[in-house]
Amino acid sequence: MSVEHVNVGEDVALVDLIDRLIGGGVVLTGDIVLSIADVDLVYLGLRLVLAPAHVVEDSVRLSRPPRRLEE
Amino acid sequence: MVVLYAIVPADQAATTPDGLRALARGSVAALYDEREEAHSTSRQDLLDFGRVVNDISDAGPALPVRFGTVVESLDALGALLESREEEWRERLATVAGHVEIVVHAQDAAAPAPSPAAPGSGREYLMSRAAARRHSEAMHDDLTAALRAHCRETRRLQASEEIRVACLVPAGETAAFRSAVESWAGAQPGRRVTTTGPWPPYSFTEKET
Repeated sequence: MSVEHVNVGEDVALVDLIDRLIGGGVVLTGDIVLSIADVDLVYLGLRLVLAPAHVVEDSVRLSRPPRRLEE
Repeated sequence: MVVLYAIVPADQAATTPDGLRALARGSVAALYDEREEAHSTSRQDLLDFGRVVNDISDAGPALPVRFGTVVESLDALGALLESREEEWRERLATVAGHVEIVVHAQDAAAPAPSPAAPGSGREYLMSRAAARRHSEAMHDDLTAALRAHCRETRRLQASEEIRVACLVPAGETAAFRSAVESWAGAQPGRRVTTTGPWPPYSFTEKET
């Protein structure tokens, strides 16, 4: 068994907070609601910072387009 | 433009944090800020928004509004409040006196999907199905164990673990965490992390 209670401010808590700020809360839709672009990028950036190094490397590798030999 | 922070009971609008205003319709009110430009989307802005929502929740029942929600005018906001007053009044009554705690659970003994390899499609799909069944069973077992300690639960997205948001009475978080520890201790290999208490971000809508 392993139990860990994380205080607000630590990494897992920070990811949960940001996830809930962006993915939780009251959702309003309709013409009168203006949404803000690029919110997902904030989230993605934090995920990358907090992810283990090998995961970041993998995701960077996967997202990088294949190089052409002449480049 | 009108930047929204939270929905609160109308009689709580008087305790609005500095810098915010309130617009009430019937029994509910929206806490908002009028700006020329919307939030920027830096991490600091996001965390500042979270801090304000936290202060609002500390003052009384509140339904946080998703970061980045902006309406074009106060007239539009008033119409929104009127159209959803009943729904928000019910939700405010549900979350009153509660906090959100998020439980992350992993099981070292869980079957892992085998890596895809050429010619092993069936085996790969079967291993994924087994992992999914195990994950569902663990989620059901966890929520059953915690049911007595939380009013509602919501399963949150997670890739390699179970993540469950629990609406816990504010004065009973220690008992809740003890129940989490008991669940983790019931089988070897279970690893559990909890975060919070948070404002009730995951409980702003009725469970479907």
